Amino acid sequence: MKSFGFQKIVDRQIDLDKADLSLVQALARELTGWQRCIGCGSCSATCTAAGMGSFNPRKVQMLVRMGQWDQVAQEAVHCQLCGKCRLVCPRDVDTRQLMLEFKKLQTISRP
Amino acid sequence: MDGKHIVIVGAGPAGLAASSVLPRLGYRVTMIDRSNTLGGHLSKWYQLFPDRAAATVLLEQLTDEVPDSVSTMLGREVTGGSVSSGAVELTLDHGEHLSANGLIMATGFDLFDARRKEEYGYGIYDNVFTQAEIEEMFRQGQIETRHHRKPRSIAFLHCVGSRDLKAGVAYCSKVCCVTGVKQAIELRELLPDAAIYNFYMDLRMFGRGFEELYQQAQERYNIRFVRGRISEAAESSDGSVIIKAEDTLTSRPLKLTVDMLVLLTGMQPAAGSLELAAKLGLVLGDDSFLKPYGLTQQTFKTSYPHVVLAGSCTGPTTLTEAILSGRSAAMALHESLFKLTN
Amino acid sequence: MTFDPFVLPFSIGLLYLMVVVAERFRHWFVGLPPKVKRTIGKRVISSHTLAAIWEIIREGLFHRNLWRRNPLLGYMHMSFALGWFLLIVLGNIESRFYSQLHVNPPYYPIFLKFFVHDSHVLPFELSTIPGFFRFTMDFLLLYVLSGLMLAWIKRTRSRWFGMISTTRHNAADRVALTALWLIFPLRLLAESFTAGCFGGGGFLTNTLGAALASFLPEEHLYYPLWWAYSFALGVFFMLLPYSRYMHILAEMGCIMLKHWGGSEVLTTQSYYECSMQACSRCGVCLDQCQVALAGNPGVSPVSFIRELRAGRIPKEIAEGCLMCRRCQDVCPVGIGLINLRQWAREQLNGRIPVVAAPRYSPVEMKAIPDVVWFAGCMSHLSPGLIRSVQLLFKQAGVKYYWLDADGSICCGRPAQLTGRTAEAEALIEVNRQAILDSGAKLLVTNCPICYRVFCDHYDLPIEVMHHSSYFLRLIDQGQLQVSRGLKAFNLHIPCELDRTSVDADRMKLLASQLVENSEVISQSEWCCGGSLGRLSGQDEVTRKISTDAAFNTAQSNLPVVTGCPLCKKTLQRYTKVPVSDIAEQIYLLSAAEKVN
Repeated sequence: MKSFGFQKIVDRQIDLDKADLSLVQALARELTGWQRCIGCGSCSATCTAAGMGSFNPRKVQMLVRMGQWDQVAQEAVHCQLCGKCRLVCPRDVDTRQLMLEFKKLQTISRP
Repeated sequence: MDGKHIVIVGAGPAGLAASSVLPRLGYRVTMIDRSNTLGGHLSKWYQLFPDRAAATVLLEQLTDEVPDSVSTMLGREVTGGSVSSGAVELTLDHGEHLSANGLIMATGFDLFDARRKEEYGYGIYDNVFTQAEIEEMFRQGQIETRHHRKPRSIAFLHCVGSRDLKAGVAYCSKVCCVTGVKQAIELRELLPDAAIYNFYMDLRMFGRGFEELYQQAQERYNIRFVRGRISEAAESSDGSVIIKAEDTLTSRPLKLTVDMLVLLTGMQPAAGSLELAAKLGLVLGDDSFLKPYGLTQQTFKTSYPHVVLAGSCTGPTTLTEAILSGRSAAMALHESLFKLTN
Repeated sequence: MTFDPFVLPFSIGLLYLMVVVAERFRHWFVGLPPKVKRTIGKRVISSHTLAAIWEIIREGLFHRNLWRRNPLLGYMHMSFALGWFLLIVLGNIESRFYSQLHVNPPYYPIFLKFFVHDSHVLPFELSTIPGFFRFTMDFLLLYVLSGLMLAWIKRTRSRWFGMISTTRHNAADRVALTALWLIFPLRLLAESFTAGCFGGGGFLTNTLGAALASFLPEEHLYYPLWWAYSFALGVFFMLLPYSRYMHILAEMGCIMLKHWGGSEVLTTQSYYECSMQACSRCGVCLDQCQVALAGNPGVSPVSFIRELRAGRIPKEIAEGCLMCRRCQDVCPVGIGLINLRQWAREQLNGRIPVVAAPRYSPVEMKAIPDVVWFAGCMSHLSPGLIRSVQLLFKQAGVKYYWLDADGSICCGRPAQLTGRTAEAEALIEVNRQAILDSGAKLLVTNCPICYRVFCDHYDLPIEVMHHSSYFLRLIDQGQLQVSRGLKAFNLHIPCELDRTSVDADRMKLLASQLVENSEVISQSEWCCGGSLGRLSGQDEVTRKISTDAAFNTAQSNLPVVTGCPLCKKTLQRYTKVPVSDIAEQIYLLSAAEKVN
């Protein structure tokens, strides 16, 4: 067969049509509160790990919503679990609890 | 109406608006306020959003509308009271009694106590202010740090004591967004060379002319907007304030040293409003503001036909809304009393 | 030698019990790390053994800790333990008197009254040896029965025993409990009926036997009763290893391990397994557990241990705990409940890949400071605290280096609390090096969470102090002058400072030096609920925990003074009463002193 035509290269695009949102639903059953996040960045601003690396808890929360689990798992390992994020969140989200769960994503096989 | 007596508690914009309507409908009106001045928070303001109208002019217009027949009791407090069918009994300080046929609660709001967000250092660091203090500086015509220096950089922080479950405030105070933008513009006029920032979570420019003001701030006044909530502040040895936030749009942590940090504090129910509500048995909502009958309709009515609510005692309101609700509450009370007697 | 087939249920049960328990103890011992085994080998013949035996007598028989908590509860447990123990010991001696043998089959002393009817002895006779035994054995039986009655009352009137909540049991527990409750009444009846038919017995069994003989056909009943008695014992012994009554033996095992193995044994798998068996399910922890009080009793230690015994580690139970130590402070058996929960968390969360901790970039220091100061990440959210500490250091003329002035790597304690020990160790190593590099001889921290891990896991060759202890020292040494100006307040002791420690005592002492002489300090030992120990659980329960804590801490609407930035932040959210750190109060008082 002859290769023909062209296609855009869309590596960076979040393809919500194909994103795996089943874990978002599973997360919603297991943990409460994280849906309240409004992305204000308080957690990232105060974050102990962010102060010394590229970790960004707010971004991780956003990636979760978009079903970008590989990136979530990669990022979450950097969290030091200090819990300072919990103290500054205006929406009372336990971000530390989320990160602890996400740290396990690496070892859990996903559908 | 046959000289029926109506008491208005609160002489802010809503109370003033109500007291300008009722005497013309034939009521005998008494207006009481804790403070010694008319106008409530308006009397402490310099210019108003969105058109930068002078607060003094509006206050004058409002007070001019109040007929001389209104008996105004300033510096007086309602210390007790009861509501029965068709009557309201109030006790004032010094033991004075007032009997009335109707009551308008125009008891207003207090600004959130910024000390409750200790991480921003209000009351601890020298150069952390609230928007009310900045307004006072505008009235004095001089902006300076606590060390009497002209600030070279100023940051506004939105949503202090608004949309913050940690502070026990779930609601949006709605006027702080545009206030921050307005004050930033005013600062720019006084300080052409200063760096002026607004740190926000969302900018809610809902009113007429608000969004335009925001655009002007960006384009004409060179105000820098950073989408990120400040998480903590520290003080450096020269008294400037070091703030930490995330610039959520570039996803990078941000550090900034400013000469002044201005906290845009939210609205909460006035302490006096809560006390009086408890005494009269008025119902509070989950947000602790007085609860009207409905949130879309009958927004002035309470469970008593002859007690109505006006202005920001029912939740954050703009000045425009407070004035409108003062007039509407007066009309609602008039209708109600008319129905009761006929 | 005497024998009757009815002794078989008892004998089989006892044999089974001995085999199973011996295997368990063997398993635990074999599982110990070699180092601990060597320690045990050295200590078996030493005063450690005596100390262990003393503790077994004190706690296993007399139940001193329970007596301290509630005399009725203490009496109940003591009557069972001590009463039954003495019945066995005296029964053995008594049986030897009759058999004249050194070794009797185990059932012989238990069923002695069936085999020996010494009707020459009078029921109230005390002057002869058999008379003394008859009297004493009946007395002990009565003693055990009185405890049984209390246990029965406790099912419905737990408040009389100082407890709001009592435990619920699983199937093995319930059958074993029924068997246990039947043992002594059956023994009473069997012995009484036998005495009624053949004479003998003491003041209780003889009298009861005689009284019942008038209208009951005792001669037909006594033999089935011995069967029933033996059967109840057999069932109880068979079920003992699978029920809460295993605690009787496991508690002894724990005490021995603790005394022989030293502190290292406390974090071994064997000790965890033994100590989870040592829980008697007395339920004392239930009323201490704030998660239970807030409506989630499943998280309480007693429920947690029940799950562990069943070989389960449910996430919400292992992770819902505040790790506040309040249960451990009262556990009459002295089970290391916090270590146990920690172990469970390691099973759940520990086996996850860890990335290397970030590094600090080195800073040039001008001189070696007296104190290296690690405020802790939470302290940065409390400018009032930071400011006060800085000014107090300045006033006292302390040369300090503020290690985390611009933030830091986490101390590692929070990661540890999640069970991610390896991750915590990576953080600890980086911070430890930075602390040592400062060259200071003293590390001061404002955060009890950091303090805990600095003390317990950093293995630092320098002194570590929480700021409350440090300022107390500066005051004692005259480096800080403080006026006694505080009015009455509520002192809140942070959990991570450990309420039973010398640090907590120092904080109380410091507080007492700040108040005007007549003013009262009431102490709160409630966990604020903001604890980093609670990893999961419903938001409403978490909020209820903090609401309860704030309510119970801010007594009489007096201000609250604490020593932890996290406690301060959490309590502030749930009470209208002012909440401050003790350092802030010291600063205000020292400033006042300066003005004077």
